[in-house]
Amino acid sequence: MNAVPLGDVLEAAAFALVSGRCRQAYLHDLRGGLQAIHASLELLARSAKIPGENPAVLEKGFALARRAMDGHEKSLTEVMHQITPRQESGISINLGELVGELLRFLTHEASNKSVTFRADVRPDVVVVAQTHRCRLLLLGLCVVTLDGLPPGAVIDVKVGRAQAHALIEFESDLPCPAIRNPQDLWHTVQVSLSPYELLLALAWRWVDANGGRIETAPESGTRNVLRIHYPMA
Amino acid sequence: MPLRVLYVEDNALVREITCELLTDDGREIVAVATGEEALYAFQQSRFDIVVTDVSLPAMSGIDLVRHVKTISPSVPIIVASGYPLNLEDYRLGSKIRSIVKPFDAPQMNTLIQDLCAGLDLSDLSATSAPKSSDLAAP
Repeated sequence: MNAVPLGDVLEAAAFALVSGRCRQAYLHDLRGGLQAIHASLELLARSAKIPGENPAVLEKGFALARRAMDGHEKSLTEVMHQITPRQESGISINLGELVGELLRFLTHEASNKSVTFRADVRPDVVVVAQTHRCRLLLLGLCVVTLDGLPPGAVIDVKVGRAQAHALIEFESDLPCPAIRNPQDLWHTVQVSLSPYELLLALAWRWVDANGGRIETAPESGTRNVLRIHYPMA
Repeated sequence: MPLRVLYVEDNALVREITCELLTDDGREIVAVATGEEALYAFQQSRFDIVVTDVSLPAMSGIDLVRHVKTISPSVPIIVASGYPLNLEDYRLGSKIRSIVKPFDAPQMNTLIQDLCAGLDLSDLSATSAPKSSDLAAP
Protein backbone atom coordinates (compact mmCIF):
# COMPACT_ATOMS: atom_id res chain seq x y z
CA MET A 1 0.00 0.00 0.00
CA ASN A 2 1.39 3.38 -0.95
CA ALA A 3 1.78 5.91 1.84
CA VAL A 4 0.07 9.24 1.13
CA PRO A 5 1.43 12.23 3.07
CA LEU A 6 -1.19 13.62 5.44
CA GLY A 7 -0.41 17.14 4.32
CA ASP A 8 -1.34 16.29 0.73
CA VAL A 9 -4.61 14.75 1.87
CA LEU A 10 -5.48 17.82 3.93
CA GLU A 11 -4.53 20.11 1.09
CA ALA A 12 -6.72 18.13 -1.28
CA ALA A 13 -9.55 18.43 1.24
CA ALA A 14 -9.03 22.19 1.49
CA PHE A 15 -8.91 22.43 -2.28
CA ALA A 16 -12.23 20.57 -2.58
CA LEU A 17 -13.75 22.76 0.10
CA VAL A 18 -12.75 26.03 -1.54
CA SER A 19 -13.61 24.92 -5.07
CA GLY A 20 -17.04 23.67 -4.03
CA ARG A 21 -17.67 26.73 -1.93
CA CYS A 22 -16.78 29.09 -4.78
CA ARG A 23 -18.83 27.50 -7.54
CA GLN A 24 -21.36 30.32 -7.44
CA ALA A 25 -18.57 32.87 -7.68
CA TYR A 26 -17.13 31.08 -10.72
CA LEU A 27 -20.59 30.96 -12.24
CA HIS A 28 -21.22 34.63 -11.61
CA ASP A 29 -17.84 35.63 -13.01
CA LEU A 30 -18.33 33.64 -16.19
CA ARG A 31 -21.92 34.76 -16.70
CA GLY A 32 -20.72 38.37 -16.46
CA GLY A 33 -18.30 37.63 -19.30
CA LEU A 34 -21.02 35.96 -21.34
CA GLN A 35 -23.25 38.97 -20.78
CA ALA A 36 -20.62 41.22 -22.36
CA ILE A 37 -20.25 38.92 -25.38
CA HIS A 38 -24.00 38.52 -25.74
CA ALA A 39 -24.67 42.26 -25.61
CA SER A 40 -21.76 43.20 -27.87
CA LEU A 41 -22.87 40.77 -30.58
CA GLU A 42 -26.40 42.11 -30.31
CA LEU A 43 -25.05 45.63 -30.69
CA LEU A 44 -22.97 44.55 -33.66
CA ALA A 45 -25.97 42.92 -35.32
CA ARG A 46 -28.02 46.03 -34.70
CA SER A 47 -25.28 48.22 -36.21
CA ALA A 48 -25.13 46.01 -39.29
CA LYS A 49 -28.85 46.50 -39.90
CA ILE A 50 -28.56 50.31 -40.04
CA PRO A 51 -29.25 51.36 -43.67
CA GLY A 52 -26.15 52.55 -45.50
CA GLU A 53 -22.59 51.70 -44.62
CA ASN A 54 -21.23 53.19 -41.45
CA PRO A 55 -17.71 51.86 -40.92
CA ALA A 56 -17.20 53.75 -37.67
CA VAL A 57 -20.26 52.20 -36.00
CA LEU A 58 -19.35 48.72 -37.21
CA GLU A 59 -15.75 49.17 -36.14
CA LYS A 60 -16.87 50.20 -32.68
CA GLY A 61 -19.14 47.13 -32.52
CA PHE A 62 -16.30 44.84 -33.55
CA ALA A 63 -13.96 46.43 -31.01
CA LEU A 64 -16.47 45.94 -28.18
CA ALA A 65 -17.09 42.31 -29.19
CA ARG A 66 -13.35 41.65 -29.35
CA ARG A 67 -12.84 43.14 -25.87
CA ALA A 68 -15.74 41.10 -24.52
CA MET A 69 -14.31 37.86 -25.92
CA ASP A 70 -10.81 38.65 -24.68
CA GLY A 71 -12.17 39.44 -21.23
CA HIS A 72 -14.17 36.23 -21.10
CA GLU A 73 -11.18 34.18 -22.19
CA LYS A 74 -9.15 35.74 -19.36
CA SER A 75 -11.91 34.90 -16.86
CA LEU A 76 -12.02 31.31 -18.09
CA THR A 77 -8.26 31.02 -17.68
CA GLU A 78 -8.47 32.43 -14.15
CA VAL A 79 -11.25 30.05 -13.17
CA MET A 80 -9.37 27.08 -14.64
CA HIS A 81 -6.32 28.21 -12.71
CA GLN A 82 -8.36 28.15 -9.50
CA ILE A 83 -10.09 24.82 -9.99
CA THR A 84 -7.24 22.83 -11.54
CA PRO A 85 -4.66 21.63 -9.01
CA ARG A 86 -1.18 21.34 -10.38
CA GLN A 87 2.37 21.02 -9.23
CA GLU A 88 4.55 23.98 -9.97
CA SER A 89 7.77 25.46 -8.69
CA GLY A 90 7.83 28.79 -6.91
CA ILE A 91 7.49 31.95 -8.97
CA SER A 92 7.34 35.65 -8.12
CA ILE A 93 3.88 36.70 -6.97
CA ASN A 94 2.74 40.25 -6.34
CA LEU A 95 0.65 39.74 -3.21
CA GLY A 96 -1.22 43.02 -3.59
CA GLU A 97 -2.37 42.08 -7.09
CA LEU A 98 -3.28 38.56 -5.99
CA VAL A 99 -5.33 39.71 -3.01
CA GLY A 100 -7.04 42.36 -5.16
CA GLU A 101 -7.97 39.70 -7.71
CA LEU A 102 -9.31 37.32 -5.05
CA LEU A 103 -11.43 40.00 -3.41
CA ARG A 104 -12.84 41.06 -6.77
CA PHE A 105 -13.67 37.42 -7.43
CA LEU A 106 -15.54 37.22 -4.10
CA THR A 107 -17.54 40.42 -4.66
CA HIS A 108 -20.83 38.64 -5.23
CA GLU A 109 -20.29 36.27 -2.30
CA ALA A 110 -19.73 39.27 -0.04
CA SER A 111 -22.68 41.14 -1.58
CA ASN A 112 -25.00 38.23 -0.93
CA LYS A 113 -24.10 38.23 2.74
CA SER A 114 -23.89 42.03 3.04
CA VAL A 115 -20.31 41.61 4.24
CA THR A 116 -17.77 44.20 3.17
CA PHE A 117 -14.13 43.56 2.30
CA ARG A 118 -11.89 46.56 2.90
CA ALA A 119 -8.53 46.22 1.19
CA ASP A 120 -5.39 48.17 2.02
CA VAL A 121 -2.60 46.78 -0.16
CA ARG A 122 0.88 47.94 -1.06
CA PRO A 123 1.62 47.46 -4.76
CA ASP A 124 5.25 46.40 -4.29
CA VAL A 125 5.05 43.33 -2.04
CA VAL A 126 6.49 40.40 -3.98
CA VAL A 127 7.15 36.88 -2.68
CA VAL A 128 8.29 33.65 -4.30
CA ALA A 129 5.70 30.92 -3.84
CA GLN A 130 3.66 28.29 -5.64
CA THR A 131 0.82 30.31 -7.12
CA HIS A 132 -1.78 27.59 -6.79
CA ARG A 133 -1.08 26.94 -3.11
CA CYS A 134 -0.85 30.65 -2.29
CA ARG A 135 -4.11 31.39 -4.07
CA LEU A 136 -5.89 28.40 -2.54
CA LEU A 137 -4.95 29.29 1.02
CA LEU A 138 -5.70 33.00 0.74
CA LEU A 139 -8.98 32.38 -1.07
CA GLY A 140 -9.90 29.69 1.45
CA LEU A 141 -9.18 31.97 4.40
CA CYS A 142 -11.29 34.75 2.83
CA VAL A 143 -14.17 32.36 2.11
CA VAL A 144 -14.36 30.66 5.50
CA THR A 145 -14.04 34.03 7.25
CA LEU A 146 -16.88 35.31 5.07
CA ASP A 147 -18.98 32.26 5.94
CA GLY A 148 -18.58 32.78 9.67
CA LEU A 149 -19.64 36.42 9.75
CA PRO A 150 -23.07 37.99 10.27
CA PRO A 151 -24.56 40.40 7.70
CA GLY A 152 -23.08 43.88 7.97
CA ALA A 153 -19.68 42.67 9.14
CA VAL A 154 -16.43 44.04 7.73
CA ILE A 155 -13.28 42.11 6.84
CA ASP A 156 -10.13 44.23 6.68
CA VAL A 157 -7.41 42.78 4.47
CA LYS A 158 -3.97 44.39 4.44
CA VAL A 159 -0.89 43.57 2.43
CA GLY A 160 2.29 45.32 3.50
CA ARG A 161 5.81 44.82 4.78
CA ALA A 162 7.23 44.14 8.20
CA GLN A 163 11.04 44.19 8.15
CA ALA A 164 12.21 41.47 5.72
CA HIS A 165 8.79 39.87 5.51
CA ALA A 166 5.67 40.40 3.50
CA LEU A 167 2.74 40.85 5.85
CA ILE A 168 -0.79 39.73 5.03
CA GLU A 169 -3.32 40.60 7.68
CA PHE A 170 -6.97 39.61 8.00
CA GLU A 171 -9.00 41.34 10.68
CA SER A 172 -12.64 40.45 11.22
CA ASP A 173 -15.38 39.71 13.73
CA LEU A 174 -14.96 35.98 13.14
CA PRO A 175 -14.61 34.19 16.50
CA CYS A 176 -10.99 33.13 16.99
CA PRO A 177 -10.44 29.37 17.44
CA ALA A 178 -9.77 28.58 21.08
CA ILE A 179 -6.19 27.63 20.41
CA ARG A 180 -3.09 29.75 20.87
CA ASN A 181 -0.81 28.50 18.16
CA PRO A 182 -1.77 27.53 14.57
CA GLN A 183 1.07 25.00 14.74
CA ASP A 184 -0.95 23.08 17.33
CA LEU A 185 -3.75 22.75 14.79
CA TRP A 186 -1.40 20.98 12.41
CA HIS A 187 -0.16 18.57 15.04
CA THR A 188 -3.48 18.01 16.77
CA VAL A 189 -5.03 14.54 16.72
CA GLN A 190 -8.45 16.16 16.74
CA VAL A 191 -10.39 15.08 13.66
CA SER A 192 -13.14 17.66 13.84
CA LEU A 193 -11.29 20.74 12.67
CA SER A 194 -13.54 23.48 11.36
CA PRO A 195 -12.88 24.71 7.79
CA TYR A 196 -11.20 27.79 9.28
CA GLU A 197 -8.96 25.66 11.49
CA LEU A 198 -8.11 23.33 8.62
CA LEU A 199 -7.03 26.23 6.42
CA LEU A 200 -5.16 27.83 9.30
CA ALA A 201 -3.25 24.57 9.84
CA LEU A 202 -2.40 24.36 6.14
CA ALA A 203 -1.37 28.00 6.10
CA TRP A 204 0.92 27.36 9.07
CA ARG A 205 2.60 24.43 7.30
CA TRP A 206 3.04 26.44 4.11
CA VAL A 207 4.41 29.52 5.84
CA ASP A 208 6.61 27.60 8.28
CA ALA A 209 8.19 25.55 5.49
CA ASN A 210 9.17 28.81 3.77
CA GLY A 211 10.69 30.53 6.78
CA GLY A 212 7.74 32.66 7.81
CA ARG A 213 5.36 32.66 10.75
CA ILE A 214 1.67 33.11 11.58
CA GLU A 215 0.10 35.01 14.44
CA THR A 216 -3.54 34.74 15.34
CA ALA A 217 -5.21 36.46 18.25
CA PRO A 218 -8.37 38.29 19.21
CA GLU A 219 -7.48 41.95 19.37
CA SER A 220 -9.27 45.24 19.94
CA GLY A 221 -11.97 43.54 21.98
CA THR A 222 -13.62 40.91 19.82
CA ARG A 223 -11.81 41.52 16.53
CA ASN A 224 -9.94 38.45 15.27
CA VAL A 225 -6.58 39.18 13.69
CA LEU A 226 -4.62 36.74 11.55
CA ARG A 227 -1.16 37.85 10.43
CA ILE A 228 0.94 35.93 7.95
CA HIS A 229 4.63 36.91 7.79
CA TYR A 230 6.24 35.51 4.65
CA PRO A 231 9.81 36.14 3.41
CA MET A 232 10.08 38.76 0.68
CA ALA A 233 11.45 37.75 -2.71
CA MET B 1 -40.21 62.66 -22.27
CA PRO B 2 -37.76 59.79 -22.51
CA LEU B 3 -37.81 57.09 -19.89
CA ARG B 4 -34.96 57.73 -17.43
CA VAL B 5 -33.02 54.65 -16.38
CA LEU B 6 -30.42 54.45 -13.61
CA TYR B 7 -28.14 51.57 -14.58
CA VAL B 8 -25.66 50.12 -12.05
CA GLU B 9 -22.96 47.68 -13.15
CA ASP B 10 -19.40 47.42 -11.85
CA ASN B 11 -18.00 45.63 -14.91
CA ALA B 12 -16.93 48.54 -17.13
CA LEU B 13 -17.30 46.65 -20.40
CA VAL B 14 -20.74 45.21 -19.58
CA ARG B 15 -21.81 48.69 -18.45
CA GLU B 16 -20.60 50.35 -21.65
CA ILE B 17 -22.18 47.81 -24.01
CA THR B 18 -25.49 47.45 -22.16
CA CYS B 19 -25.72 51.22 -21.93
CA GLU B 20 -25.42 51.44 -25.72
CA LEU B 21 -28.13 48.81 -26.17
CA LEU B 22 -30.61 50.44 -23.80
CA THR B 23 -29.95 53.94 -25.11
CA ASP B 24 -30.70 52.83 -28.65
CA ASP B 25 -34.31 52.24 -27.63
CA GLY B 26 -34.82 55.96 -27.03
CA ARG B 27 -34.23 56.01 -23.30
CA GLU B 28 -32.03 58.25 -21.23
CA ILE B 29 -29.49 56.16 -19.34
CA VAL B 30 -27.37 57.25 -16.40
CA ALA B 31 -24.76 54.56 -15.79
CA VAL B 32 -22.73 54.21 -12.60
CA ALA B 33 -20.33 51.60 -11.25
CA THR B 34 -21.20 51.35 -7.55
CA GLY B 35 -24.17 51.28 -5.23
CA GLU B 36 -22.93 54.43 -3.51
CA GLU B 37 -22.79 56.35 -6.80
CA ALA B 38 -26.25 55.05 -7.69
CA LEU B 39 -27.73 56.15 -4.39
CA TYR B 40 -26.18 59.60 -4.79
CA ALA B 41 -27.56 59.87 -8.33
CA PHE B 42 -30.99 58.70 -7.18
CA GLN B 43 -31.06 61.33 -4.44
CA GLN B 44 -29.99 64.07 -6.89
CA SER B 45 -32.37 63.34 -9.72
CA ARG B 46 -35.53 61.49 -10.61
CA PHE B 47 -35.44 58.13 -12.35
CA ASP B 48 -38.30 56.06 -13.70
CA ILE B 49 -36.57 52.74 -13.16
CA VAL B 50 -33.39 51.35 -11.63
CA VAL B 51 -31.51 48.44 -13.20
CA THR B 52 -28.78 47.08 -10.96
CA ASP B 53 -26.32 44.22 -10.82
CA VAL B 54 -26.63 42.27 -7.56
CA SER B 55 -22.88 41.95 -7.04
CA LEU B 56 -21.26 45.29 -6.47
CA PRO B 57 -18.21 46.31 -4.48
CA ALA B 58 -19.02 47.69 -1.01
CA MET B 59 -22.79 48.37 -1.11
CA SER B 60 -24.46 45.36 -2.76
CA GLY B 61 -27.28 45.54 -5.28
CA ILE B 62 -29.69 44.18 -2.66
CA ASP B 63 -28.65 46.88 -0.16
CA LEU B 64 -29.08 49.49 -2.90
CA VAL B 65 -32.62 48.25 -3.55
CA ARG B 66 -33.42 48.61 0.16
CA HIS B 67 -32.12 52.21 0.21
CA VAL B 68 -33.92 53.15 -3.00
CA LYS B 69 -37.19 51.63 -1.78
CA THR B 70 -36.91 53.63 1.45
CA ILE B 71 -36.63 56.84 -0.59
CA SER B 72 -39.17 55.93 -3.24
CA PRO B 73 -41.22 52.77 -2.53
CA SER B 74 -42.97 52.82 -5.89
CA VAL B 75 -39.96 53.02 -8.21
CA PRO B 76 -39.57 49.86 -10.32
CA ILE B 77 -36.29 47.99 -9.98
CA ILE B 78 -34.68 45.22 -12.02
CA VAL B 79 -31.95 43.16 -10.35
CA ALA B 80 -29.52 41.40 -12.71
CA SER B 81 -27.49 38.48 -11.46
CA GLY B 82 -25.28 35.67 -12.67
CA TYR B 83 -27.52 33.12 -10.97
CA PRO B 84 -31.27 32.82 -10.28
CA LEU B 85 -32.36 34.97 -7.34
CA ASN B 86 -35.43 34.36 -5.23
CA LEU B 87 -36.25 37.97 -4.47
CA GLU B 88 -39.10 37.00 -2.15
CA ASP B 89 -36.47 35.82 0.33
CA TYR B 90 -35.22 39.38 0.70
CA ARG B 91 -38.64 41.02 1.30
CA LEU B 92 -37.71 44.11 -0.67
CA GLY B 93 -41.18 45.35 -1.61
CA SER B 94 -43.19 45.54 -4.80
CA LYS B 95 -42.30 46.25 -8.44
CA ILE B 96 -39.00 44.39 -8.30
CA ARG B 97 -37.98 41.77 -10.85
CA SER B 98 -34.84 39.77 -11.43
CA ILE B 99 -33.11 38.82 -14.65
CA VAL B 100 -30.34 36.25 -15.10
CA LYS B 101 -27.17 37.02 -17.05
CA PRO B 102 -26.58 36.63 -19.89
CA PHE B 103 -29.79 38.40 -20.93
CA ASP B 104 -30.55 39.92 -24.30
CA ALA B 105 -32.04 43.32 -25.12
CA PRO B 106 -35.57 42.03 -25.90
CA GLN B 107 -35.73 40.31 -22.49
CA MET B 108 -34.63 43.48 -20.72
CA ASN B 109 -36.95 45.64 -22.85
CA THR B 110 -39.94 43.47 -22.00
CA LEU B 111 -39.19 43.73 -18.28
CA ILE B 112 -38.73 47.50 -18.46
CA GLN B 113 -41.96 47.92 -20.43
CA ASP B 114 -43.90 45.70 -18.01
CA LEU B 115 -42.66 47.52 -14.95
CA CYS B 116 -43.00 51.01 -16.40
CA ALA B 117 -46.42 50.53 -18.01
CA GLY B 118 -48.71 53.36 -16.95
CA LEU B 119 -45.97 55.62 -15.64
CA ASP B 120 -46.62 59.33 -16.11
CA LEU B 121 -43.43 60.76 -17.58
CA SER B 122 -44.80 64.22 -18.29
CA ASP B 123 -43.54 65.96 -15.13
CA LEU B 124 -39.91 65.01 -15.56
CA SER B 125 -38.97 68.41 -16.94
CA ALA B 126 -39.11 69.80 -13.39
CA THR B 127 -35.93 67.96 -12.50
CA SER B 128 -32.41 68.81 -13.58
CA ALA B 129 -31.13 65.56 -14.92
CA PRO B 130 -27.42 64.89 -15.38
CA LYS B 131 -26.64 64.59 -19.08
CA SER B 132 -23.50 62.51 -18.80
CA SER B 133 -23.81 58.75 -19.02
CA ASP B 134 -21.35 58.54 -16.15
CA LEU B 135 -22.18 60.21 -12.86
CA ALA B 136 -19.78 60.07 -9.95
CA ALA B 137 -20.58 60.52 -6.30
CA PRO B 138 -18.56 63.26 -4.54
